[in-house]
Amino acid sequence: MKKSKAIIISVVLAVMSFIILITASVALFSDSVTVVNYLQAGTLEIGLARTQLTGRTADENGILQVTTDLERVDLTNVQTDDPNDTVFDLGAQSVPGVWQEATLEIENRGTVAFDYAVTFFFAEAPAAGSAAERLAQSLLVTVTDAQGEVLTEEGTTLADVVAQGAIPLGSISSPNAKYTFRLKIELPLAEDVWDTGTGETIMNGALSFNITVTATQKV
Amino acid sequence: MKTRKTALLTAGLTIALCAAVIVGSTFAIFGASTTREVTVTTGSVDVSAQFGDLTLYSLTPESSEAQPTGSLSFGAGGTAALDSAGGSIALTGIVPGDRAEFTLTITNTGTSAARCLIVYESSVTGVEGAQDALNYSVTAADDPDFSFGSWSADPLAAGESISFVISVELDKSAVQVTDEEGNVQTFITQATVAFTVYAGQANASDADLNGALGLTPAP
Repeated sequence: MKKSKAIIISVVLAVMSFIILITASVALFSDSVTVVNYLQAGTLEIGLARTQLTGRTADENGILQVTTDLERVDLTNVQTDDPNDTVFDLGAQSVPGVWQEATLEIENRGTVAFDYAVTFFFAEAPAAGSAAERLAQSLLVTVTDAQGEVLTEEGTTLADVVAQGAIPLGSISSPNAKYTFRLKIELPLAEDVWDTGTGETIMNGALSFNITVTATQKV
Repeated sequence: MKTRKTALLTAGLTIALCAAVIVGSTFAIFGASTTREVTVTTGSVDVSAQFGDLTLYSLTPESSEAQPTGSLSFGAGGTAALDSAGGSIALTGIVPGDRAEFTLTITNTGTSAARCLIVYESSVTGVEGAQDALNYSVTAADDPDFSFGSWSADPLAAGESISFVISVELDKSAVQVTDEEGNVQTFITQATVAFTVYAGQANASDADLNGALGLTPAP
């Protein structure tokens, strides 16, 4: 029974092969049209620049000066060693009372609409009980969006915004469109606090933190 | 039966894989970001103070104004000695018109600009009310308006020094006191005057500095 089944299958296959061969030899005249569907992906690319840096910072003699820097600094590419290639430049002699406000311009250099946000995070988490940690809890941060709306509550510290994560700033739809937003940091004069450089001091403290502006396509 | 089971399993797996691909693709949205590191470094306020150039003056028969004695003794035998470590001057056996004059040099050893405040506290052994007969004065060539209990007007840059000339005098109009038996009493057996120098960050207001120190503003 099995043998006969095998024979039948073999015969059927042989017939089918023969038909294919015949058909191929008959189909000498043929034609075809191909329609190409062209699909191009958009690009999401941002440009970020600091257009103004205003503030009150200490000069090399430790004396506070009010300054306004209108030089445009492109922050799009990887940070260089240039001390000016950053968002803030408070110098090395900060004391309570210093502050800086940076005006940043974000540009849609691609073709895709996006939402953008700013995130603060520590370059290295300050050690518990250190001057750096106290500094992070003293530095006030203010984020103002392109519409001039202040997005941070009064008294928000750097430690707070680091814990908060991304702060949405808005959206950009049109290619080449530009919006400006502002970031401010301030080391306020604490009332009735006499910091003698000992104990719970912030003197000679150093703290590094990163500011990241992220664009994500609108979905 | 076995083949059917295999087919069902294969179909199930295929569906699961397709679902995973679809779900996975929802995370593959376009995004871009740029990051800048910011470093905040705080300065410090610190000062050192040094006594020097002690000169003694006493009245002479030839002049109604006290004249330099040229030694570490007053004209009537009293003495004066500076204690740099304790920040004080000790006067013994002085008589009306005796005056001790010395310099106090303050150096900003911190990294931030500072303003200074000098206060004194005296401890007098002598007749009743002798303490009120001591006159104190302070002058600074660079800050003519400076006085005890008031913050210096100009900021002292990091590394800079300022010298003050301080004098302590027993008022020449002080009246000699006798006891019930008519014996003349020593007006001042000993007077010790201690000076304290405070330094505060230059940008703080007098009110803020006084508030932090818990000091009553000078009248």
